[in-house]
Amino acid sequence: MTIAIVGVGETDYAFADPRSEPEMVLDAIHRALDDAGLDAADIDGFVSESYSTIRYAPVDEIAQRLRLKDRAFSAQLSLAGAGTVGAPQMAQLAIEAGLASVVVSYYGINLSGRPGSTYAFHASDLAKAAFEMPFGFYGQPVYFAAMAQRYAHEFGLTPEQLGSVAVAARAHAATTPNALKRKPLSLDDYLAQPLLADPLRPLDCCLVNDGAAAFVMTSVERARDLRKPAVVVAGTGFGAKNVNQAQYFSQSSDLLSTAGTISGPRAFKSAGLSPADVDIAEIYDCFTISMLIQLEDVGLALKGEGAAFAASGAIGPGGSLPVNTHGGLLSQSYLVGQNHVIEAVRQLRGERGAGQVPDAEVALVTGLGAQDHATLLLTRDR
Amino acid sequence: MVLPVWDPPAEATFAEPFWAAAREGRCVLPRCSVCGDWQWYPDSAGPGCPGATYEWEELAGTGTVYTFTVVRRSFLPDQRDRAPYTVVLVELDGAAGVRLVGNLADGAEPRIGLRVRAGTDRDAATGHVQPVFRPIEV
Repeated sequence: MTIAIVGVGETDYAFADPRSEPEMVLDAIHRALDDAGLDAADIDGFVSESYSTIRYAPVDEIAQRLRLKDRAFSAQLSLAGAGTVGAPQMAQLAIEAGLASVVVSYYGINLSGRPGSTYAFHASDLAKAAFEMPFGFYGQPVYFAAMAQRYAHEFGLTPEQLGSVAVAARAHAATTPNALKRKPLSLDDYLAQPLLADPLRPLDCCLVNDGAAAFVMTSVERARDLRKPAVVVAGTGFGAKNVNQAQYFSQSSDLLSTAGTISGPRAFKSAGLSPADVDIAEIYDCFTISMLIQLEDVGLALKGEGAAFAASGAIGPGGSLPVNTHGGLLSQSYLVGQNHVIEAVRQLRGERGAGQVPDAEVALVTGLGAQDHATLLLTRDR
Repeated sequence: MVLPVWDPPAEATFAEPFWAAAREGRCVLPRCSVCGDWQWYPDSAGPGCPGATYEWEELAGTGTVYTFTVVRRSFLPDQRDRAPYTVVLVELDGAAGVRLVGNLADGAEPRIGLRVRAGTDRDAATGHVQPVFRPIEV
């Protein structure tokens, strides 16, 4: 039995939303339920991200506020993007096994209410605090800058190539009603920004904002009776590198690949599809460089050629492989990949108006969570 | 150029042998007492082999820069303007698979492949001693 995503919902993204994570999450879930034509009482399962969600929007709190009498299934697969994009894999297992029939995945984040917390996640690890912070190897831009510098050494990487990723994301965001950064961005604007940590500039980094997003899953059979066209979970893949979270940014044997090299092929195999079948890709873009590396990892560009591919215009509006058609984490919202899944669903339904990619039938979504990685393949129904 | 000023947390007792040596410009790394594999990073859980402990071994302190970045805005709490500084990831001679995070000494031009040696730098104003890597003259 295959499953489908039948409802999607997002809060109105904001740099500062006064609401707590649970309040925002409930807003997003209610919007997703309305989109599906389902009621809260239909929900009997949850899959959530495992790092911040279990702390700030735990499932018991969400279920209680939804007035659920029971939860037949609750699971977390992984952290950050690997947890949000990987969620359909857990939901599929639960629905196929008969443990649950309607499974909700949600993510909520309030960074404006916790100054400094964007980086503090890494400070909480004692090994990083002992062996990295004393040398100022701290802050995600610094980690990804070191990665980009090595990429430049191995394969070549110009400022124009990195900038092309930020420019494409902004061009897509311009057609996205719920994108936080919609003002046009030129390559000259990008190049005029001072460096933050060589070779990265602030525009290479994702947004920092507040919001919540949710999607609802059920069997394809039931999905066909619901309000919107079913979007089929055609394939899922999960994989992990053999390092722990503390080691990820310094000790990985190869800083130039993610575990997308594992999750990507697994997802294609489970779907019976290949990279050539993909019409649009929503790639976890916490940084421009991590987007490029994952594009290569899952086989949408050859290793070392992702930067040139992006700079060719292929990933922008009207390109041969539009990437992050909502603007991504760089220009739409830092919703940690939950928003990437939602954008793929809307594209496959044909709901994206000015941002619609014509005839999009197969969407690939990736989610990075340090050493963990998830790839998701979604298709139109039948 | 400046160097970051940030002490390792006192509760990270597993880091004490490393720091005691590093403040003298020496480099020691832990191995598993059972299988002999390098254990980097060590942590409070200890090595993976049953009953194993960390055995610290001194290395030459020389190595090769694997990658680097010049940080132009520090993200360390309350040190935003304590920049620029250069972070290097160094592959140490004699410890395959280990990369040491460190700083490049003031005035040295960073590049991948640069040969470096561990030493220290003392801040005259604060007295803070920071382990640094310096280019090996060739």
